[in-house]
Amino acid sequence: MKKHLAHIIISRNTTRWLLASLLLAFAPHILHLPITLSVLCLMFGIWRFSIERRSTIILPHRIFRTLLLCTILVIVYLYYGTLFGREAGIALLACMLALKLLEMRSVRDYIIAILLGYFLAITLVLDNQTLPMAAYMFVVAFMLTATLIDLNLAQKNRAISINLKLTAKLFTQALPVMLILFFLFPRIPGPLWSLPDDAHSGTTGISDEMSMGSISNLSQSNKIAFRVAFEEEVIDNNLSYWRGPVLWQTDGKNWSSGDSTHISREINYRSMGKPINYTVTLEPHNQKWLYGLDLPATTPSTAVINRDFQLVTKEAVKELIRYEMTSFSKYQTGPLSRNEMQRALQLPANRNSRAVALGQQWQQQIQSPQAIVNHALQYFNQQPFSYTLKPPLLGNNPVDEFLFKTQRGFCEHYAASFTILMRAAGIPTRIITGYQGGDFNPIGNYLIVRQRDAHAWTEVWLENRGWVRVDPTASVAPERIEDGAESAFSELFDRQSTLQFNNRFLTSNWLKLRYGWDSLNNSWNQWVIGYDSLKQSELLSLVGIESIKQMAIAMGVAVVTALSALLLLSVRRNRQKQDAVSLIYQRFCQKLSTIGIQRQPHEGPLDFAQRIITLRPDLEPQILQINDLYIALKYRPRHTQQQIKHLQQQVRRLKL
Amino acid sequence: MSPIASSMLTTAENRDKNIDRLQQTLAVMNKVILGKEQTLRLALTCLIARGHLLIEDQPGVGKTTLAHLLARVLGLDFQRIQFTSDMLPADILGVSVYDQNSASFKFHPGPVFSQLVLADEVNRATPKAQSALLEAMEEHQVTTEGETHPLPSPFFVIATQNPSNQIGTFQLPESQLDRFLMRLEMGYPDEAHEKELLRGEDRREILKELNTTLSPTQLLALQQAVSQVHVSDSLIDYLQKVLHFTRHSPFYRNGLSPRAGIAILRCAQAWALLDQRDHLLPEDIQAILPATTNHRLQPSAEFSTLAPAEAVSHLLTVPLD
Repeated sequence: MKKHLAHIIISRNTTRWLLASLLLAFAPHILHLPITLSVLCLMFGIWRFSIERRSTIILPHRIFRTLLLCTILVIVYLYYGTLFGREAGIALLACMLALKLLEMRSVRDYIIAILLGYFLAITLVLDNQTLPMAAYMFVVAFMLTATLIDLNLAQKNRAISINLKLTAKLFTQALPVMLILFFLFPRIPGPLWSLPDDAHSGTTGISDEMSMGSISNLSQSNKIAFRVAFEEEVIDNNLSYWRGPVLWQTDGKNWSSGDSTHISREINYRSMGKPINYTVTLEPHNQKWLYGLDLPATTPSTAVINRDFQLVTKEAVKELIRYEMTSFSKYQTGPLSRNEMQRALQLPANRNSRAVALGQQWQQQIQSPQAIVNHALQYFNQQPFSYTLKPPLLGNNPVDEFLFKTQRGFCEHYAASFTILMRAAGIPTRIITGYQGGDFNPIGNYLIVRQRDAHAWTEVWLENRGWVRVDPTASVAPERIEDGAESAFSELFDRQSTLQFNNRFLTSNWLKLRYGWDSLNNSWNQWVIGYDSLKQSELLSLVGIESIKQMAIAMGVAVVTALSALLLLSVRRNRQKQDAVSLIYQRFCQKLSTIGIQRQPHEGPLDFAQRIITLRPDLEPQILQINDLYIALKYRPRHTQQQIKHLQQQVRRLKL
Repeated sequence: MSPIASSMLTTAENRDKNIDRLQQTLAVMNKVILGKEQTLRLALTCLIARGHLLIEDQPGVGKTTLAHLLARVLGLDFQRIQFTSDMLPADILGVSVYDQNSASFKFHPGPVFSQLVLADEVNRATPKAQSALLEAMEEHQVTTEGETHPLPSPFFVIATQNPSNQIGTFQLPESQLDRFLMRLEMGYPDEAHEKELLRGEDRREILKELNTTLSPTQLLALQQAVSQVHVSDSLIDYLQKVLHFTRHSPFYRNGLSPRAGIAILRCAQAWALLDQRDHLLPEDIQAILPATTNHRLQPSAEFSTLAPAEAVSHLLTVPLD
């Protein structure tokens, strides 16, 4: 092997290929690495590149490289506080690989750099599992493989196209193996290689606390929260409320769920109307809940439902998950416990006193709670309230300031103020956060719910009716509820698209393109990212494999068959190539290799015999006899079958 | 015994006898030029393979002595041509002079008309003069003014060349380098042999006293025996692999030509003959490979820093089968 490698001399082109493909593998990491490290890595790459341009390759001294290594370790430690874990690990990997460039000399070094390059590329998955990233990684892997081929194919005048063709051929050959492994390799339910704790830490999304402005922040984001495929027809926009955390507790400024985590044994509400069946594919959001259409009637296996009808999971959602649900849009919930009643009427002391006074005033003026609710909605509708993405900042009594001064707010302003008013008027009220609306993708036939669809609304508890959804935002900006966030802020969202494509035809095509792209992403999520043990067993049961054990057996059979077929093929090919004499000689060489004397592929019989005799003088007569016979058979003009037999016997009798 | 079989026997006997004489010749040569056994063996191999020899080295390492020595022990008539920059083709080939007695032109053969020609410092001459010699080498004849004059047989040229980086040289073009079967470098003698050289007799005196050990007829017979050395198919495959390697490896600007392939094979056969074998072994090819290829393979631009010997050494790593 060693000799084999020594045979190769690295050309400058190979180094350039390597640098280019490593740069590709490194590029997306620049977004996550500290700037110092990114700059260092790039500097090492440029350094190596400039070394390569000189006539003689002089690498930096070992002591200098050690110093660089220490510097990197210190920077990583200072930045991450550790040398382990995902982020620090990737940073170390990237830097070490860049440093490796400065000591690359032998073929072995190059191979190590290429393999580390593959590894660096695979770490990209930890951050991003989308289709474009997969395509990008494919390109990186392609380049690295082409480099590996370039390194091993010591061919002169080889055009790049030959290299790339060979890589493409290799990839094509690997494709069936990839598919077999993807579809058949046993998948363990639950994450086998669970992502580290800090995964998706920067994910945007709804949290279990709300303050004025927390949701309007989200509304700038076009990121997808989840996608929903309905079994029957798509629900109306004004029913499309996706339930997340339920907030009870307030200090007048911030809202939180308080201690509402009682898990209900069964879902106890009276459902009316038609059930709505749908499947949600939820993007990782690093929180311990799922979203369901108001009101969920079933729970997916990964979650339980609490008394607030919120779907709660044990672990934070760190990878894309997919679950089937049933909900009812018409329902009647039961009575309220004393504890709940207390919490639904909780008001902070000495805060928002004007709003509280207004609520109390309504309670005295108006008899029925339903009428108070209507009155409040009318109040929002008739007063000069406006719905805006950029509400002014509010001080210590935010509800007062909002209601009587600024009157410009986003859904959370209306939900919070409404709740304060209702609680002051003695009506149990709570805030629900989640998403409302979404775009329907006509190409993929599913609903896309984005971060900008984040919403907060309220539920009031009325005698005989239970919890009733009231959305004060609807009375201010009905278009937000009817047509979704996009149309409510069309001037903001569509600036890029509509302004550039004033032409109606272009605009509609642009939309089609967007939907097509999203539906492609959705299929990717459903079939590649979301291909879990459940889907695998579904697929396998189609071909009659029911259990993991059966699958393991099937896999084993497939692998053994493939391997033995390959072995047979290679043996046969070898047989055809080699005549009987060479085979016997090969056996002779094998015998000698057991005592550590290995014939080099380029070593002639005389040289080899000479070497054996120098190492083992005791074998001289036997070796000479075998060698003479072999030479006579292989290199002299005439020989007999008898001689071959003789050689065979001699080799067999050779005692080492 | 049939007459055919007996004649075969006699040729085989003759051949063995000739090889014995060849071995003796080699032994004698080793006594004159010390510590250069491998080089002398290669030079002799080149001679019986009917090739011409190019020796490239510093002045004073024994290039001329080698030529004299060969002429002496082989009993060949010997001419030395000192190449200079003002040399004309006629100075090498000869010239036709008007003879008043016969009222016609008469050809006066030049120094090239001799069995062993030493072309000293061949890269000092202009390309015109160089090519006159090289054409004669290839064709084994000289054509001037419409008349063809065959060169003597055996005909063997030893050209010496100063390293090309010396001042005032015309580098031989690649196409002409190909006409030489081998390029050898003499190299300095090692310490022990140099001491012996310094203490010993004057080499020229020794040369004068030497007798012929191999006659020109015997040499011709040996030259014919070379092609009878058996080459097995597997060795033809091996040689092809070597040629293929030179044509596809990044080390070399050009691969070896088919002519080079033929030359390598003939040379390897001669080497086997000198080793008293009637069949070729891979070792024979490997032994003559550096000497027969180092002037034919130029390192590619990417590997221009590689020494020629180093570049050629990669050929020896080509696997046998």
